[in-house]
Amino acid sequence: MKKLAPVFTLFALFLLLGACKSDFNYYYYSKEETEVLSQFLNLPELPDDYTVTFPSHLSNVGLFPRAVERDKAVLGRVIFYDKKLSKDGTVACANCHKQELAFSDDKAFSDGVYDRSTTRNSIALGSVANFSAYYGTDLNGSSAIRFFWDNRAETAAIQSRGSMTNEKEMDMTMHDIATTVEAQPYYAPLFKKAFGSTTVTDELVLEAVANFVNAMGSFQSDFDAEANQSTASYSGNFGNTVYDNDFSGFSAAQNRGKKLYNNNCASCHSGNMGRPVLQLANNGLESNPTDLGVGGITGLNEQKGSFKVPTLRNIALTAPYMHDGRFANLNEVLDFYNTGIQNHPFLHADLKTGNQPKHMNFSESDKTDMIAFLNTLSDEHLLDDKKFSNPFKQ
Amino acid sequence: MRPFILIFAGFLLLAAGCVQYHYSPNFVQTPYVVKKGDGMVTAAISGSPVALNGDFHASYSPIKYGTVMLNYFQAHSSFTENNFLGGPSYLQTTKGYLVEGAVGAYKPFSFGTAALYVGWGQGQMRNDYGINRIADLGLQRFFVQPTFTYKNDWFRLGIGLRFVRLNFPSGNIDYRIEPADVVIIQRLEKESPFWFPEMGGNIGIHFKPVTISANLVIMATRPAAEYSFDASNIGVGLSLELQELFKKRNRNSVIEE
Ligand code: HEC
Ligand code: HEC
Repeated sequence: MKKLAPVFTLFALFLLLGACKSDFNYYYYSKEETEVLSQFLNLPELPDDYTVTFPSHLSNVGLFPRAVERDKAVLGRVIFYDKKLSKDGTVACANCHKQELAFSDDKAFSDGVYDRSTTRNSIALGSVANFSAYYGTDLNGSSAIRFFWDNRAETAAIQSRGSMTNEKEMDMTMHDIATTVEAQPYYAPLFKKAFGSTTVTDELVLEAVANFVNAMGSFQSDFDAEANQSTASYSGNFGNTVYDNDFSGFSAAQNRGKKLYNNNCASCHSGNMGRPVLQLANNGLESNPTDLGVGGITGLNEQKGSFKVPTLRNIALTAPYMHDGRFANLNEVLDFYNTGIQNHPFLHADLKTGNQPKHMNFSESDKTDMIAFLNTLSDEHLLDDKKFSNPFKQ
Repeated sequence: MRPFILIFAGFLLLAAGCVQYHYSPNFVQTPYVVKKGDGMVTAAISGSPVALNGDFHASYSPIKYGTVMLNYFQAHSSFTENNFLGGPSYLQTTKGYLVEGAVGAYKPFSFGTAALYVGWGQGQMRNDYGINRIADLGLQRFFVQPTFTYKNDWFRLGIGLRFVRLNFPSGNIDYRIEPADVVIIQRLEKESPFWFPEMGGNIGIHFKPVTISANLVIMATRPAAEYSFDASNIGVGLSLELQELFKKRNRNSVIEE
């Protein structure tokens, strides 16, 4: 037995050696890939996490985000900011969807290629995650929320095709896009990561952008923090959950504003900011609209002058307002709902009293309260979240 | 009830196979040496419908009451993960090895031995998650193993309790593997080393000098899902007892006793 003593000592030594500090190395890009990418882009060594998590008050009512694939979102981020993907090389998605404005534009009409101007107001993308969300199995069902002011796109991918090929926006053909992408050295490694091959097709480009855009959510607002801790007092159709009780963390003005909002606006824009209750509505901007909105696409008479019901998340950050950016600030919006609603045969019933447009009779202090409430819907984190920022080296 | 249990067991096997793993226990070897000069070699295979592991073992008693042993374990599994959401399906593979040496002291009885082994080894587990996304982990294992063996002319029974200290000293991990798998590996990195017992043994029929055996090893307590450990192995082995193969030379040592 004694003879074994040195051997045991040796094992004890090994045991100590084994306790040395561990050496784990996580890699994403190879050396060669890093070399190529770092010439053009500032991407983190390890990719950011683009998983969207809904606040509990939304997941509790069965609302879930669409799955986002990280590697595709990383690629989508580069595409989103790449001006080369436009006819004159000056316009990227980000031109009209600016991060500091919750991915909206501060102009009523945005500038596209060759200084052409869009015919509608850029829509804030800061809560696309909401729009692409769905209830239970209702993934692409008829009540899934659609894209664009006139609801003409079913998915973020179809929408992106629209933006890229729109002659007022980027004015490319999808074939142009694919060949331009293929010609940039930095896309090969990114495609490899996202799709396992360097083959570029227009479908894959769109899929990548869609993943990036679908990851944009604004769920860290004051409203969410309060709603997470409250029980809804009313849950109507289409999951329109409304919080009638005062939020303990809100000021008196914010709570008064919430009450006014619940009574006058929630039936369309939703009470929990989950997703709009209605897909589209005529909110009486014009009695004789020139932009026919959804009706212009479907040809249906009752939809002429109807537009997508937008989310009001980040609303304080995304002026000007409405599909044509006609209102410069929220005060003007409230003035409109107060006394400016125009009659129209298909004006939505919620905005009518009898046969006439509703007058909401907000006092000046009501308006201040409502704006105080609308301000609680902003998520400032999004505005400087690096993973959504411009990755290009200037 | 019986068919239900069988189906359930089948499911368990399948489920066990369809997970990538960072550790798989080799068989708990129980050298049937009872005197100086005894030795044996064993080759065994184990696995599931998607995995095939090889276990190689050699032991020898160079001195009275003392044994040295050498084990080599090779793990291999591969399966195609079905992507139920309609995306691509990837061929995923796990390959690994562990090589270890141990010394032991045994006390012979008329029916067999009681022994205590202490060993150390190292190896590697390499998981390919498809499209060349690889996580390569180095592993080191220290163990203390009390063992009991029983043998007669035609029968072998060996049982060992292996107290393991498993360390993951290094890793090279492609960050493109599923985020959930990265989380598991980060957990291994953070919580390593692990201490846990494993139980195993073999039961065999002996035809001089060969033994055909059934082998089993089960690790206790480690929740496989949280760490992607393969919790058990079951298989068959073939052993050769050297003192029976080279009978003449060994006569002397018997007289020595
Ligand atoms: C020239 C400005 C401009 C560019 C460039 C542009 N957009 Fe837009 N975007 C708009 C305008 C304007 C709208 C609203 C158009 C409409 O509804 O008819 C819009 C709408 C959208 C919507 C719909 C949001 C919703 O909630 O319905 C998404 C998503 C979107 N853009 C993403 C993108 C992406 C991705 C790109 C780049 C591939 C892009 N946009 C490029 C101006 C632009
Ligand atoms: C009948 C449904 C309905 C009701 C009720 C309603 N809205 Fe709207 N709202 C809409 C529609 C539809 C639009 C888009 C109209 C357009 O741009 O043509 C809109 C647009 C807006 C916008 C501009 C959003 C943007 O991104 O440009 C704001 C702000 C707004 N509503 C606030 C309110 C407030 C505050 C109330 C309550 C006082 C309210 N809405 C009540 C349907 C409704």
